[in-house]
Amino acid sequence: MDDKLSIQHSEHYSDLVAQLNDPVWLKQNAEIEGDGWVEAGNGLQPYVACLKKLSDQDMRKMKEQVRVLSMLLPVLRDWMVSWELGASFEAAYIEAQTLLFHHIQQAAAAQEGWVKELASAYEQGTRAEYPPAMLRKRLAEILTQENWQALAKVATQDMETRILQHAQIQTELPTAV
Amino acid sequence: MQLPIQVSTGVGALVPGLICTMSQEHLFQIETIWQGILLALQEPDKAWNWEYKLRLATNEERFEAYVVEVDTLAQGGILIETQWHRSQLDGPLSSRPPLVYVEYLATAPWNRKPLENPPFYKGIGGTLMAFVRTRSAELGFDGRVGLHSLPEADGFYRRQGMPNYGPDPDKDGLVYFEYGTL
Repeated sequence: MDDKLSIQHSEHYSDLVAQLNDPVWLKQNAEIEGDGWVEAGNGLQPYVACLKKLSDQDMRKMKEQVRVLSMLLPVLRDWMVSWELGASFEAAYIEAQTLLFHHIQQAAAAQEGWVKELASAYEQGTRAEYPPAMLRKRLAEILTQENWQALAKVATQDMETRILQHAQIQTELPTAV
Repeated sequence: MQLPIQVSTGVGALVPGLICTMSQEHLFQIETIWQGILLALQEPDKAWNWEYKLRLATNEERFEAYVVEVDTLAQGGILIETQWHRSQLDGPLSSRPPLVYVEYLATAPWNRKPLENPPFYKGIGGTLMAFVRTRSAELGFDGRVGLHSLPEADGFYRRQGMPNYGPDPDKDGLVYFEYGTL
């Protein structure tokens, strides 16, 4: 998709960048949004219907989970980028997010202290007190030994699939005479 | 594609974000994290019949999908179709100009006041619409964009200044809105 997207080189692009970084426009844009319902497309009707059924308890859980994810995901991503997994990064990162989200959901349900602590830091604007090194350590504690094994397996399998795909393509090509 | 932007938090502060082409990572977040929020309702299948079309965006030339990302988390997404739709303005079909059609536009569950007050982020929908209008101009459609709004969002598109062409019987009576030329 990126190949056909020439937007970076257009005159419209610079206007758009200016607009999307203009504090006055951003304030107006936030006001126009009203209560936040912006959904378009017939297929989203069940999504909106489901959102309207969320209970106060569901919303409290959602708030906590999103705050914790907002603190941990950027650190997880940067950390995994530093592992230099190459093309297998995406598969491994998606697996890591799945495992982390699972732990956050479970911990939030069990009202574990670390979830409350991180959510509270986000809410009170004291995220800076949790530098990446500290959050990486926290991630290392949250993910279990089985989780790390699962991550390693996903990355290995993804790489294996890529290699075998190339071999398969070559064997299917007609031989030049 | 990654376009650096500013995003307004629910309390009016500005934080850095990105508009990005929707990747597998984003799709995962929509399918797992957004959906995970709704799992308590035991109705995930009913709610998530739109992921098929999002996947099309990665395979079919005529679809494009973008997200607004903050803290590496997808905060809203848009799926557009760029080849088959034409303006709904009067006139024979052959003379109607092409446009970008918004198949889906959604913000994350936590970015709306009735669920989270203040919401985590405000203006995600407007940001995506501004981007898509520019994309329409890029494609030679002069900024024309059409969509069918869900009833809850009609007010948002009116406040955006999008002309309203009334309920569309072919789309369950959803109101059709269309931006004209820039």
